[in-house]
Amino acid sequence: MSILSVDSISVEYQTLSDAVRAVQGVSLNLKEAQILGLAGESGCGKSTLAKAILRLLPETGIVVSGKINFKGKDLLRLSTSEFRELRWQILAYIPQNALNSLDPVYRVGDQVVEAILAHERVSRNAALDRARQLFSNVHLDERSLRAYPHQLSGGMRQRVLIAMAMALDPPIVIIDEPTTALDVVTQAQVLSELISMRNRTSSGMLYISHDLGAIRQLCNDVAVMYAGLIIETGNVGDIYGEPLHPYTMGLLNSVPKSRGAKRLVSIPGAPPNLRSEIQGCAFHPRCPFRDTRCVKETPKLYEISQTRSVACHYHHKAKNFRILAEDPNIWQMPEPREAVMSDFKEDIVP
Amino acid sequence: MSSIQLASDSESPVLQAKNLKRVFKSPLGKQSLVRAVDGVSLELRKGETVGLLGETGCGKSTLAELMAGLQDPSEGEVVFQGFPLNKKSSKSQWRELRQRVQIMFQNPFDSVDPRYRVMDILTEPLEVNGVRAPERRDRAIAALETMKLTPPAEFIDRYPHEMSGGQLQRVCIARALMLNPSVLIADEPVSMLDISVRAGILILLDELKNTRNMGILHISHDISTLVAVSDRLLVMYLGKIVESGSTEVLVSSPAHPYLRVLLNSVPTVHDTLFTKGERELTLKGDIPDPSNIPDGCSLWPRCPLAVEKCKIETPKLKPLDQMKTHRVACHMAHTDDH
Repeated sequence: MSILSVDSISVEYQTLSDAVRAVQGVSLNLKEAQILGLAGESGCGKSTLAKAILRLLPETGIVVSGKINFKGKDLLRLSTSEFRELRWQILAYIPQNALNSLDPVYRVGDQVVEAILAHERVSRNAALDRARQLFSNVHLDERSLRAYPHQLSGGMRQRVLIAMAMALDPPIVIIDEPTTALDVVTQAQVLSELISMRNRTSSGMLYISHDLGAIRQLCNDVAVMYAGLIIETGNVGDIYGEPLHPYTMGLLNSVPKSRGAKRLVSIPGAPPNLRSEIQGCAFHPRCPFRDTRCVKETPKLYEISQTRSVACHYHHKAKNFRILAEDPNIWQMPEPREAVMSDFKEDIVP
Repeated sequence: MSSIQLASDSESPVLQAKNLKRVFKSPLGKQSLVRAVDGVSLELRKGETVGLLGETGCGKSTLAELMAGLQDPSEGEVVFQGFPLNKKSSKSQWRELRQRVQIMFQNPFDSVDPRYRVMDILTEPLEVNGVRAPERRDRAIAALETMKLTPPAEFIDRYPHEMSGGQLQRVCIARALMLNPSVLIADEPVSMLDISVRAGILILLDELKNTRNMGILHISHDISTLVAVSDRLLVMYLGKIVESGSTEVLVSSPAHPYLRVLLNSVPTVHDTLFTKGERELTLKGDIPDPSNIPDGCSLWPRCPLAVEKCKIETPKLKPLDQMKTHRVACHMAHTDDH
């Protein structure tokens, strides 16, 4: 059953002269106990989408159209105070940078207790008991409750945030790149905390990441974003095993499969400028399989099966494309293209 | 040059570190010292890529700067083409090292002057070394072509902010190659770039290794990337090399618990790159404060295999095989049948 449904939402960042269309009519459904990975490179709109759901967009970011439904309510129509009631209780958030997300002058235990007391009428002791339980769930020592954020390591702080997010057992949790700033071993530990959390609750989770390996390990389903659009969705096995969209194929082939750099695929060019209207398929300038139809006509999100959809006119040729896409030379096309967006990791908010 | 000399030329390392140490005084207390690099020896030959694998704070970037002559070692020395470089070395010897051993960094936007155009970025090393202006421009254009930034005319007058990260990283590689170095030290060259453009940089580095017969020291925390591009691997933990050997051997039979855990825990996109072993093998806690490294083996408080001996005696990097190519610093690896 769907608990959160995002219905063709569009977000723009206003600048002095024009607008950047960061998210362009994206729809998705989050089901109970589902972990949906939102994959994509910098500037594809994945974080903007999350922030729009959480109402954490900066002032320049405006939701221009669409609906976000939770139990028949449109979250976008709620007043600020109504929405505040929902935070933590219905909609929890695990942000990327744990140090910036905790108050440096409060003990972390008190911060968890405060979140519980703000939403539930329980005694302080009961809240503290729950905090203790939450900490032990994420393998944090009880003594950590009395620690200040700076006394904890990066991995421990991230676990505090996971514990806090789960404090009120929310039906929806949005997780934004929780492992980027962490070491490999710590990353693996945080991922395993998230996996055990997945097995403990029935919360639906939206996991936003550029890390295709982490998504593969943690999520049930994936939505791949490119240039403000969802271009492919499906369960993890299908997406990683039999991608249908050329962009997904290129992305997966650009990650090492075997030894030797020669076999790596590099997708030429850069994502399109989101300040102007995109003609045809957003990926066509970089796609080795494009033809005139791709240049003129924007593909809709074709439904392939109940669980799969793809925004490519030629999805029925995907099997051939997959074989061709293994060859790095296929991707090298003659004319160079203007880079209009930086290919840096950080999402760039104009 | 005789063929015998040629053969020995490819055998002998172009750049070596001999028991390099770099100690920093910790700003926190007068007593505490941070041993960022603690007795590292390594050899780099022409035409090979050596991957240096390590996590944040293990001292891999300090080692890179020591190897490039950007920092002075507290102990030990860098040996370039058989000549040791130390305080007694002449200015011209240091000059030779700094010309022939080039370094590139993680963030291209931090590594160039934002007010320099590509032309200025690329020609500065030539200017410093007395190349005349018309030749400088020609060489800059040729370098852009090598880096596949074509047509060069379109890029040569750009400022850094007018380029993407991937393009600017290519400019940084081009700059490093302007003086035809024999060694390139690449410190996390792709980790700030998006996945789809990483491959382009990695392929470029691989081509340079082959066409220019360069030695490349590729430093990264990203196991998948290093396994894909390196001929040999060095694994670093808290200032020390804990395991080294050919990439095939290290991924198929890792001996040090640290490497075994790393290989098991990294979430991979494809299962074909290397096989994962024991899932249950993990490390406890986090990397300790580098100013307070535990006695004995520095991994023991986190290590699932640690015994009493590990707490007392620091393990040495010793060969495991008869060829002496696979080396590991772990008491347990040398006692059991690994």
